Amino acid sequence: MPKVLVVAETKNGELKKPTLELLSLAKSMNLQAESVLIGKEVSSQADLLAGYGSGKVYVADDAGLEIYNTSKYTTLVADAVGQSGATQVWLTSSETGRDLTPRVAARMGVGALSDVTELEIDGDNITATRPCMATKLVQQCRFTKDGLRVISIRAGAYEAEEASPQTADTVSLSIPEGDARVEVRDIQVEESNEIELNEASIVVSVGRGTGGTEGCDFVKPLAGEMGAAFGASRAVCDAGWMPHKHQVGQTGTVVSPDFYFAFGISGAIQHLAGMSGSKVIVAINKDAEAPIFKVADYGIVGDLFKAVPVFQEEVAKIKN
Amino acid sequence: MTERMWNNHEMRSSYDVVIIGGGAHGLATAYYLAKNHGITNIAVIEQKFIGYGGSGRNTAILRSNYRTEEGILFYDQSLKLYEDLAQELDYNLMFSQQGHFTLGHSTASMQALTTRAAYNRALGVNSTILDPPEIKKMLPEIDISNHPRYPIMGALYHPPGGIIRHDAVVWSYARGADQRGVHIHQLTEVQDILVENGEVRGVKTNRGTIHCKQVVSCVAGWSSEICKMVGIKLPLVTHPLQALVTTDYKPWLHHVVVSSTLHIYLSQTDRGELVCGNGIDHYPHYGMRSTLGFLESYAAHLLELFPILHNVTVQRQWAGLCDMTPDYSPIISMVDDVDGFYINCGWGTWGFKGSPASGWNTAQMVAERKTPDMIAAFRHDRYVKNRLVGEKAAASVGN
Amino acid sequence: MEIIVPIRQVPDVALNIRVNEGKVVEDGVSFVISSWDETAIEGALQMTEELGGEVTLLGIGPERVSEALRKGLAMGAHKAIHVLYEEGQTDSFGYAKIMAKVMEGRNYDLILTGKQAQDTDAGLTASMLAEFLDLPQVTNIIRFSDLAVDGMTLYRKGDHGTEVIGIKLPAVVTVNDSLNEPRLASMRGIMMAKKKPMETLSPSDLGMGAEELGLQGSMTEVLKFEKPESRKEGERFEGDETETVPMAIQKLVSEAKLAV
Repeated sequence: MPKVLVVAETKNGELKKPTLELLSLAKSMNLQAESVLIGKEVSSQADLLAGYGSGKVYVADDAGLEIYNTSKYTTLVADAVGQSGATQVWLTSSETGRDLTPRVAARMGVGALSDVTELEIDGDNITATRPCMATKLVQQCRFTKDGLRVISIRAGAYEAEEASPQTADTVSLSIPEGDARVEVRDIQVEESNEIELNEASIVVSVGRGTGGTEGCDFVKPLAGEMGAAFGASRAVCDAGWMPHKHQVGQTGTVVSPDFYFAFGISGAIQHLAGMSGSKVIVAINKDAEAPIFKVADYGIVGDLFKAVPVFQEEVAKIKN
Repeated sequence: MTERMWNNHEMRSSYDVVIIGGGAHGLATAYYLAKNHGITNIAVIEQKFIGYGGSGRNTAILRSNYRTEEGILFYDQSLKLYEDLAQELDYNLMFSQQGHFTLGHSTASMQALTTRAAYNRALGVNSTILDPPEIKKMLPEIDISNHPRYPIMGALYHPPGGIIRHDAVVWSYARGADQRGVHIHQLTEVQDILVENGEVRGVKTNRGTIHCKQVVSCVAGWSSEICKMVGIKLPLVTHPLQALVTTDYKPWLHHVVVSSTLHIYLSQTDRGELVCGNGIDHYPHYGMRSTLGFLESYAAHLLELFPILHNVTVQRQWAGLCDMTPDYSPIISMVDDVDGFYINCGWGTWGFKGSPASGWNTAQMVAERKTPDMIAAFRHDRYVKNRLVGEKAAASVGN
Repeated sequence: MEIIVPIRQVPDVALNIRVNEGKVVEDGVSFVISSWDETAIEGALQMTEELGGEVTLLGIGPERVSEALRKGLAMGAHKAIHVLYEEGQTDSFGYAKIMAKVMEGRNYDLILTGKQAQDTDAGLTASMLAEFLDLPQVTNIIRFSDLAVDGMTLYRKGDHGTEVIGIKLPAVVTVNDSLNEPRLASMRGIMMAKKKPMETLSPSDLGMGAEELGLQGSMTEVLKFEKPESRKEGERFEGDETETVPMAIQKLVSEAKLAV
């Protein structure tokens, strides 16, 4: 009987949506699931994990776990795998997940499949579909040996259901020392109330067509009004018009929201690779030949500086 | 709406003339048919995008210092058309007639260059032989010492030669043709040529059939395929030719330099990049890929000529396809067995230089339905009649 | 500082990639160094320019991989190791095992490579290698500072900000392409590359048998490649923005169920 251990991720002490997606997926497949919850002041989230269907929740709550640390997290996940007897470990393909997935797999002496967008499970046989070659192709993969299956799943690939917290059955993990050769000193965070790119159901993104920082700032309020995360193309971030944390694409954040609005983005391959998993793509561009229109469900050929105010009016109308 | 250089049109069910291939030759033919002969109901059919093939992949060197009388006169006409083209098409083609050096590294090659200079001058084309100190005066960075493996013994200098902006030539011909009513259909692939009773009836494309009485094939790379459709065999062998462009530097090289012994030609663009071309690859191939072997041998040879270039960095490599003919001259020809079908192909490494004259004469041939004197020597059946126009001696690099 | 840079030669993903019967068509494909690995080469060159030492490239794969290595040497790397290996099907785990064998008995301070390879986009090999060698890892770095022969400060792009990490060497580090702009090879570099040492090894030179190679030495396999269902272009709206935008939004709400 397969048993899944979900590696939960939190931000500011709260569970992130992709984690809930994983638990919802396990539930929809009738798989037994447990979870491991690591961080600082995160214990309170165990009940929500339980509400989402997690059996035991393995908790490591410690001030020293506030910032991600490969060595400590790997030890903790391995510990939880051992205690739970899980046959599968599921992670999200966040930066944390990308770092942790291969290390956990190698620690357990097995392989891994990363950034999976489609998972089929039949007992212990797993077939995973994942994009490759800058999303020009997808590959279908499977595990060839017995043993633990370590898989990271792309955020947004599956839906998270609604669920309410339940009293969790928690197990405390002992806090490891960590690797003395590595000292995680600090995290430089820009304080903001903005919605994170890989969590948002709507993303509003800007490209070179904005012409500069002012143009980007012109579009940004619309993101707030729509409850959307604010993204940008690589050209915009490299030019310093917007900070790199906004970058959508293979080098920045790979997103697959329900709605992706591209303002003045022409659609370079690396950008398309980072957003073509979006369910609905809306493109606004002056250049009718821009490649972004080839993937857009709704393409508006026009000037973004004229279009944005109309968007704002219309959004206000919908809200009322 | 953005103003376009040329317009997209619905494809008509019939045209007077269909030209296959939207490169410099096809577009020039369409332009001169419209301008010189008043024939405007023309479709130019392009499989990809205009200028996708050789017109966009060459190193944009122009010259007329050929070896045969036929070649010299033809390329001289072409160069003269180029001289007035910017004015005529109202488009800055960035033509820089900076002079063209063909270096000689052996007694044999000096003899060949001397003969060419004599032929050129006899036919009114400005060419002259320079000795190493004279070369050094005009190319101060060149190594004329006896240290290199192939020391420089002299050069054929051709003042009217130079470089031009190749895309601009394609675009301006396209615009000129479009303004005169020619339809350009991109992303349109020819599947068959319809012939009945020895006469052209039309062209079948992936977007439908076009009826017409005259078809001109200005295709490169696929010329043999097109000609097979009407049952003509061509003696073409397609080879890739590789080139590279460096990052940009302040202007230092003010002339085109060619060395056939070293398989090198280079020039500096207005932007400051060095555009460098090689001989054709030794094997026939349809792949347009770049190889490391080319880069390595090119670097070695380039540094022999210009040791100061050791820190120059390579920005990009690319390759184009060259349809080589046995005599290194093109084929521009009517076809006896298929009335209304014209061939314009076999442009090897000399096609871009010849585009205006090629278009001019092909247009005349189509309009008058007879071969103009200027291109009488370039018929397709010269290979079976043994009337070759041997231009190998004037090929830029030892191919 | 001695740095080993594992690089992977990949099809140029900027060009058309074809699939036939579930396999990627190699004929006509132009192969390049995976772009993140070029960033790693540049990073390694900058480090050795500051501290001295040499950059050694490591490539695993068929004969054509030697071209990628020579291109890296032309950029300025000092030497290369080519494990001549007709890959068959090998996964990240299998490659990490081969790399771990190559590292045995070698002297290095740092293994620096791209955060993922441009063909698989998996991002697994480097961390697995780190685990097999029992080395610390820092992935996805966008900057380094305080460079010294025994350690440095790394800036990792994490989920919630830039993590500042002090690390003692040796270690395995992977790079994000915002770390630098890789240099182009110079004419002299291209010529000198031919003369730089390239060590060619076979898996058996590494003491690896069939059971450790190919599918046998791997934990996963690719069943098939496919072109993803390409998105089709949807509806276009052209004209005055005050008309097209409300029209588009109305459709977004009615057809696509947009809710704000």
